[in-house]
Formats: sequence, C-alpha cells, structure tokens
Amino acid sequence: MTTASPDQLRRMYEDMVTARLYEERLQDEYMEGKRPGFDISTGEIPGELHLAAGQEAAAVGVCHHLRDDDTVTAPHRPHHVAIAKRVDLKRMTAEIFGRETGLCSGKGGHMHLFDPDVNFACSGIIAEGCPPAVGAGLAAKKRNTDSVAVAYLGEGAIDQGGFLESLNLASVHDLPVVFVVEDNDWAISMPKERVTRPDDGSKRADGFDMHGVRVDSDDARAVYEAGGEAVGRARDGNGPTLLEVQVHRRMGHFMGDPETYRPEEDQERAAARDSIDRLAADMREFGIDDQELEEIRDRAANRVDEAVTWAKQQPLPEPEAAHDHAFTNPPEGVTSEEPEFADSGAAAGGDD
Amino acid sequence: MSTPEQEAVGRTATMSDAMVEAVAHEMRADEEVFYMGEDVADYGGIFDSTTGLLDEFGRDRVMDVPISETAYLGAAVGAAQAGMRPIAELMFVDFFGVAMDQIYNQMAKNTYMSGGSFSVPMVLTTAVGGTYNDAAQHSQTLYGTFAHLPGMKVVAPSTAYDAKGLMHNAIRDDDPVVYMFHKRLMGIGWLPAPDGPKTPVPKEDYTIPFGKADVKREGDDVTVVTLGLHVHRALEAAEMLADEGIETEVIDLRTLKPLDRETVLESVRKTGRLVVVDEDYRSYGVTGEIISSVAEADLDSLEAVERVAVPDVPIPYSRPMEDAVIPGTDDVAEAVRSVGE
Amino acid sequence: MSDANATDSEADADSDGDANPVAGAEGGRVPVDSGALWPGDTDDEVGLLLNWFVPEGSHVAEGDRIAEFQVEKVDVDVPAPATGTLAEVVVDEDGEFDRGDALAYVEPEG
Ligand SMILES: Cc1ncc(C[n+]2csc(CCOP(=O)(O)OP(=O)(O)O)c2C)c(N)n1
Ligand SMILES: [Mg+2]
Repeated sequence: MTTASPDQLRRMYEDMVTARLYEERLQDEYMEGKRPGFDISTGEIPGELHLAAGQEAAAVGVCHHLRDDDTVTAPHRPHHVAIAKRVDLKRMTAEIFGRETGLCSGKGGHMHLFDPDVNFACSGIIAEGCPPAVGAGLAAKKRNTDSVAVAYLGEGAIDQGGFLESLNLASVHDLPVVFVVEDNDWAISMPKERVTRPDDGSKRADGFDMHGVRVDSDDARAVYEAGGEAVGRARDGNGPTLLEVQVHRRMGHFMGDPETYRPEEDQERAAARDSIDRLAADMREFGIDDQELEEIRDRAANRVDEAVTWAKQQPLPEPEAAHDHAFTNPPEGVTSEEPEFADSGAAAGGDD
Repeated sequence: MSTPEQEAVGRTATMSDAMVEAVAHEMRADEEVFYMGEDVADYGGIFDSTTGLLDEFGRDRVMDVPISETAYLGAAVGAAQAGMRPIAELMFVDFFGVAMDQIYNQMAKNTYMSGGSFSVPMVLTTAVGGTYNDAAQHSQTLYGTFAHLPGMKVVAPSTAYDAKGLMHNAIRDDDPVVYMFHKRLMGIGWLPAPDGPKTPVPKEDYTIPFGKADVKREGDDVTVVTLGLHVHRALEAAEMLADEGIETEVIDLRTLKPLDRETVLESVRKTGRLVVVDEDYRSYGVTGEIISSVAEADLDSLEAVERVAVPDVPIPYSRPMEDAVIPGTDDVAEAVRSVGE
Repeated sequence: MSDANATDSEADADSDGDANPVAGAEGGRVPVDSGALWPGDTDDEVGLLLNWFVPEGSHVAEGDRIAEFQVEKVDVDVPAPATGTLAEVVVDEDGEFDRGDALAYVEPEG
C-alpha cells in the first residue's frame, strides 16, 4: 500500500492548485478578444479549449508515481495531466497561445501537446491515445526496462474500439500499462447512463482478465494509493491495470458550452465536491497549517502567472513554417540515390 | 447568389436551419427515418445540425449514441439494409478513421457486392473544414478521400437553399449519401459565417438533383471551380477582380459524386482558363480530378490552368500558419490573375 | 450549439443614454425588446445581432422566429412580438446593442 507522506501531500496539493489556477487563468485569457461576439476563431487563444478543473486528483494521484522515462498519453483535456507529468509549463502555455517557441512550434495547440523530455503525448481523437501507450509498454518490455506507460481517457471513451482492443493487447502480453479512466459523468452533453453499460467502467477489465479498480471518491489520497498499486504492478512486470477515477467537471465541456443540457443541481454538486479543498482539509490534520497552504498556493499562482506572461511575449510562427515538420528533418537513414550494380540491366528488371 | 424565384420566398434561413427543416420534414413524412449521432439529442448537434429535433420527435428517433463510431455507423448500414432510412452523424469528418471499415467496406460496397440485391439507403452527415484554429485532427475536409472511394454519393452544399434541397434528395435516395457540411457555413453564433450561405429558402420541400453543379456567378474570362466554404471566397475574389476588369465564372460543384463534368467543360470552353479551388489536400484530390477531366475531354479548350488547395501538410494550429495553408480570397484572386495573363 | 431557452430577465434594464431604448417606443409600433429575451445566467450587458431572417417591410406572425442574437456564448432566438409588418430594423446584422435596446419595431395589423 502506498500511502501518501506529508511531503507527497504537499507536492500533490501544489500541482493540483497549479492545474486549477491554470485552467481558471486560461478561461479568462480565452475570452480576450471574444466579446461581445463569441467567435471561437478570434482572440489570443483560438480554437476549441477543453479545461479540466475538477479532475486534478486523477492526474496527480497517478502521475506522481511516474518518472520522466515513463510514458503518458492524454486526451483532448490534457492540461492537468501534463502539469502532473512535469511537462514544461512555459512552453506548453506558449503552444496553447500558438507561439513559435511552444512545445510543438505552434503546430499542435492545446489538444495536441507533445513533450519528449518527459515522454508526454496527446490525441484529440477519442481513446486513440490508448494504442500508442500500449506500444510504449511493449517497447519497455522488449528492451527489458522497468518503465511504464499510462493512457488517460474519459468515461465516454470506454465505448471506443481502440480502447477495448488495447486492453486485450496489453493483457495478452502482460504489458506495463495503466489505463486511467477519468469519470466526470459527462461526454459533452451525454450523461454516462445514456450511452454506457456498466456504470462502473473498471469492470471492463474483467472481460480481459486484468486488474480493474474504481476509486469512487474524488480524493487525491485514494487515487494515489490505487495509482501506486497499479503503477507498481506494471513496473514489477505483473501486467496492466484499468483504473477508473470519479472526478467532477466544474466547467463546460469546452469554452463556449452553454451547458443548457446540464441540470443546475449537477453543476452545483460538481462545484461542491472539490478534491482540492478535501486534500487541504486532510493536510491540516497532518499538521500542515493554513500559512503553509497559502504559501503553496502563492507559489502555484506565481508559476502560472510566469508561464502565461512568458508565453504571451513569445513570437508567433512565420506563415512559411507551416511547411516544416511533415517529416523528420534532417532525414536520417534514407538515401536520395539509387545504387548502381555492375549488371544494372538485371537489377532494374528491364529487358530492353 | 439567389435567383429571383428564391428571392420571392421572403424569409431567409441559415444553412443549419435549412438542413434541419429538410430532416424534420422527411421524419414527419416517413416513420422509418431516424437520426443518430453523438450529442444530437439535447445538444442539438455541436454544429446545430439537429436543433429542435429531439423536442419534436423524441429520443426514439433522435438518438444520442455511445462514442463508438464503428458500432453506430455500422448499425445505420444494417438498419438501412433492413429497409429503414437512418441518418447517422459523424461529428467531425476527421473521426472517420475509427470507423472507416463500416463506411467504405460495408456502407459503400454492400450494394455492389450483393449484385444489387441489397441497397443501403442511409445518409452519413458530417462536419468539415477549418479556418478556426482547431488543428490537424479537427480541421480537414477530406472531400477527395470520400469521393475517391466508389459506392457512396458525396455532397457538399454551400448555401442554405442548396443545403435543404440536397438534404431532401439525400434522404430519399436509395443509396448511401455522405453529406458534408462546412462548419463555417452553418450560421452558428460562435463561428460566424461569411455573407452568402444565408439565403432565401422555400418553406415547402424540394429536391436538388445530385450531379448538377451550379454556376454561382457568370463570367467570360476565367472559370473557377470550387465547393463548400470556398464558393464564398471565390465569389468575394470575383468581386475584387471585376474591379480590375476580369470577369470570373464561379462554379459550385455541390456534389462530388456524381460529378457534373459537363458544366465545368462548358464553362472552360467559353473561358479557356481554369482555376480549381479546394480546401482539401492538393495531391490526389478534387483539383486533380477536375483538371484531368477537362484535359481528357477537350485538351484544346485549356489555355491555362492553376490549382489552389491545401499544400500536402496537416492543418497547423497557430493562426499565421493555418491562414497560410487554407486558401484565402487573395490566393484565389492571385490564381485567377495568373491564368488570365 | 443549442439555443438557450430565453428566460425572462428580472427587469428590462433600460440602459441610460441609449440610442434606442425600448421605453421610447412611439405610436402603435411594438418594439422587439432585447431586454425581455436576455438570457438568465449572463453577466454581459452587450449583445451582438447575428442574423435577421426576414427583411424590413415583410409580414410577420406573432411568435415567428425573425432574428437571433448572442450574449456571451448563448444564442437567443427572437420571436416577432406581434402580427403585422416588420416596420423598422434598428440593429443590423453584426451590430452591437445594450440590454434593453429595441432591435426593431413591428407595426401591428388592424
Ligand atoms: C472518435 C471521436 N469521436 C468523437 C469525438 C468528439 N468528442 C470530443 S470530446 C468528446 C466527449 C468525450 O467524453 P469523455 O471521454 O467522457 O471525456 P471528457 O470530455 O468528459 O473529459 C467527444 C464525443 C472525438 N474527438 N473523437
Ligand atoms: Mg467524461
């Protein structure tokens, strides 16, 4: 059992507050240049923006067991996971602002963050980060290293074929993979009960003869324990785990979502169950006082502010840069010349 | 943009309203028509493709489905083969990958493989296009990809008037129809449309046949062939060029399969100069198809040719780069000038 | 994106110094009152007119959707307040207006 130490609680709290403040800041930044007409193609951050406020526990509870050489794939809602996996916050922010010095030179945007330094990647296509995570696990097993791979997905994504196929492939090869399902009750406007059976997504594991666990409370310490067990199992070569975590969606599906489909009570319930407050309360019981909590919050706020300020000072890419990076550059391992053989007629297969 | 007959109609509608009106009309007329997709019930479609349908028809006929495109698109194929007339929505065309087998090996081929003993009377609706910085996995049109594969009819309206008539035709057609609507044309509050797609729309039902292009603007100097959003960019370019004394004919293909090669050819015989504008990738796509069709049929009619399309890279996120790869009004105008010289 | 059901706002706040506050309705013409349609949960006091669906001078029936506007991220349908003629469009497409401004006037029949 991996119970979180007081120091670990401090680290989790700091990342969770950072992630929350980050999303709140982006919410404001996103609206810049989008009033009174809300046009999603205008402003400093254009395009879709999916914020993860209320899902921080699932990120830190698992990622804080990981090393830089462990792989994480995240879906369209990736910021909290990226922060917990120690993706470079400044360059990630610059990417979200579409800047040249962003993680992906402005090519990817907020749904497609890639940071090779900490082995972090994303996909905006539902559940399609799962197969590559299995591949990272496969590479680790073939090379006999003890690194692991974690695939994050939403509860709506567990109906997708790519996820189910990945469970089987990971299980049949006993790969070091952890699938983390963030259950925020909603897939855009579709409540879980309308589209998915069973209610407890971790039961999907049974059909593939692998470990399945659900953490029913939005509680960072509980996730940390379950995450420790799952990551430990993978690292020890004992195969994959499917871990579902109850979280809460405190904001719309994406910016601009009027949430007219969502009952007000549900929004209020989500707002009331705050895993950050819950962790703070636990920390006080461990003797971590309000002053220290405030110091942590200040540090987080500064970090977010620094990242956003830096990002906004960065240059936009040149238009011509659109043509770079379709392929690896400079190319390696390929030649631009054909070989010449003595009997060139035969080699070319021509009979003329 | 609209004919006098259309003007006489009085009221105008957005492209989304026009589509929904056609769907609702067909659902009222035929119990076998139903709509399924992600977020099509309470939400009314992320791009307003089903606004109000749940209220009128209920959850049985306006179905939210799991994020299981293979299963529900394939289920539409099966229900269609059983004689129903499903409309199934793929939220963004970019997601076709997770369900491509059901689309091109089942939906598109079952009629042929069964020697015509089965038909698949379904409509696959899907949102296409960029221009709002949604990056590589949410901005493609993939017109060429769908039109390339045999067995499905492919339509892409550019105005509300066309959208309604094509939707009626799509639902009544006994074959699978891929109905590609451009997000930027729907008239969504948060993704403002250019002037143009909102047109007068008759309240009654009417059909627009497949395989008939529409000359959206007449001109003697240069022919521009395009579809979707770029019809409006081409029309805007044509206005600029008219000030310079170049008269541009703008042909809206409206359907990619079947393709109206005749209207294109007729226009090129008149102008001798052809510019094809496409929001899809440049290679192996609509531009190449149109140009080779003309070359094949009447090589001598061609004096100058130019194509304007997305260079062969994925759509980048950041604004300066996305603007660089998706053809703009200026790019169209420049191409017209260059063939006009 | 679905339209929010326009809920009646607490008060038809007449913003002062407006070009076209509803209170100034002259004659028998019925104003198309933006304040009455203002969506519930919004803080913004400025709206953007997205679309007119009927031109000035056309006949409208009470309840017909004649326009739509946007406040923050919510689209609001505008029904004709009376049966008659859409006599004057005050706020054009893409025009901004304050909460409570008249968007147009309908000359009632009879
Ligand atoms: C294959 C595919 N289908 C549909 C979508 C559109 N889409 C984006 S997010 C989303 C809902 C996802 O719900 P869930 O997995 O629960 O994640 P959450 O958004 O709640 O974090 C959908 C349907 C997509 N990106 N990819
Ligand atoms: Mg969810």
